[in-house]
Amino acid sequence: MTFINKALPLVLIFTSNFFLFLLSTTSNFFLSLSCSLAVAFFVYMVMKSCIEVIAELNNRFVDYEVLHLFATKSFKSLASRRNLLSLLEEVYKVPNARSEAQLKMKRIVGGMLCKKILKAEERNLSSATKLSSPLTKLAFTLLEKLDFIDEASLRALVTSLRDLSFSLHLNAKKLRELIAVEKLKYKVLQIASSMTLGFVIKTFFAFARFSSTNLVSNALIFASFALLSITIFTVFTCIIQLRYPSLKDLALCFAIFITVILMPPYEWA
Amino acid sequence: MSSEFAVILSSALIAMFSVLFVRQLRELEKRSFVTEPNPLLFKLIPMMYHTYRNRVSSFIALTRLDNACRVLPQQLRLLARKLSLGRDVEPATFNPLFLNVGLSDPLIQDEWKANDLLFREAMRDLRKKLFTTNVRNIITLALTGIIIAPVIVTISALFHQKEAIELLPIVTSLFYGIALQVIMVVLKRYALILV
Repeated sequence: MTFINKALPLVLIFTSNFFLFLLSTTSNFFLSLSCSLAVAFFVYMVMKSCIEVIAELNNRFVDYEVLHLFATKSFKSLASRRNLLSLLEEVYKVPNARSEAQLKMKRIVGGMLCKKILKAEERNLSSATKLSSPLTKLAFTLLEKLDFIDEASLRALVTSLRDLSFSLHLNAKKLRELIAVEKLKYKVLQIASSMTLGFVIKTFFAFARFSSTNLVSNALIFASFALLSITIFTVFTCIIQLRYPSLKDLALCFAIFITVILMPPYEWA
Repeated sequence: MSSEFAVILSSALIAMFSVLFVRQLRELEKRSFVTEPNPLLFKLIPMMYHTYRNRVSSFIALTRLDNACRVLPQQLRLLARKLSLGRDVEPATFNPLFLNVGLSDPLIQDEWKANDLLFREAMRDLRKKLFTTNVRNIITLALTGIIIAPVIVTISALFHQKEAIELLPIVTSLFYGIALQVIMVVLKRYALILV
C-alpha cells in the first residue's frame, strides 16, 4: 500500500505532463487522453517496480549493519563460551535496541534461539525481521542450522564471520559515500539542465517572433516537452540515488524552469 | 508522418519500454547474484573450511540451507557431496572462479593461502574496479547524455520547427526508453555490490 502511495503522485505528474505534451502536438483531444491513460498505466507499473527494488536494496544496507553488529558482539562475547547456543544467548542479552539495525539483530537472534531451544518456528515474525541480502541470510541460516560447535571452531567461525561482515559493511559504506558525493553533482546538473531548457525556450520565443506564424502553439509544445524531460530526468536521478523521488525535487526544477522562461529581457509574445 | 500516428507510435513505444524494463527487473530479482562471480562470496570459503574442520555433519548443514538463500547453493551442495558423500558429483557446473582459487577440496589447502588469495586479490579487485571507475563513469556519462539529448532536440527544432514538432513524441518515448535502460545498468551495478 505504501508503494502505491509513493508511486501515484509521480505517475500523475508524469501523465499530466505527457497529456499536455500530446495535446499540444495533436488537435485530437480523445486520442491524447486515451494514449495518456495507457501511458499512465505502464509508467505506474515501472514506478511501482522501481520503488520495490529501491526498498530492497536499501534494506540490504541495514542487513549488513545487522551482520556487522552481530559479528562484533559475538567476537566480544567469545571468551569462555563453550558452544554456539551459549554465545547466541550472550549476544541476545546485550542491551542494544537504539537503532533499527540493533533491533533487527536482536529479533533475528531471538528467533534463532527460539528455534534452537524450543525447536519451534516463531509465528509472529514481522516483515522488519526479514533479511533482503542473500549473503547475510546465508550467514544467519548457517548459524541457525548448526547444532553444536566446539570452542576452537566457534572462535574460527566467528572470526570469519567478522571478516565477512567487515568487508560487506565497508563496501556498503563506500557505496553510500559514493552516492552522497554523486548526489551533489546531480543536483547541480539538474538545476543546470532546467535552466538550459528554460533559456532555449526563451531564445526560441525571441527568434520565432520574427519567423514563425504559429508562435503560441509551438511555444506550448516546446514548454511541455521541456517539462516532460525534466520530470523524467528528476524522477530517474532519484532512483539512481536509491531514494524515493519526492515532489520537492520536481517542484524545484519546475520553479527554476518557469523562472528562467518568465524572467526579462524576453517577454511572452 | 502525421502527428496522430506519431502520438500512437510514441505511446506504443513507451508501453514496450515499460514492459521490457519491468521484465528485466523481475529477472534481476529472480536471478539475483548467483550467476555473477562476486569476490565477496569468497569470504564464505574460510567459514566453510572452519565449519568442515569441526565436523562433517556441520558442513552438511550448509547443504540444507533454505532455498531462499540464493548465494551459491549449487556449489555448496556439489562441494558437500564431493567431500562428504562422494556421489553424484557434477564438476561441470562449478563456478570457474572457484576452480581458479583451487578450493574444490578445502582440506588440502593451507588457511593462509586461502586467505591470501581471497582477501587480497578479490577485495583489491572489487575496490579498484567497482568503486573508483565503473559505477561513477557509467552514471556520469549516462546522466550527462540524458541532460544533453533534449537540449539538442530543442535547438534543432528551432531551425526545423515543423519536422521537429512531428517527431517530438517519438523522441520523448526514445528518451524514456534510454533512461530506463540506464537505470537498469546502474541498479545491476548496485545489486552486484549489495550482495
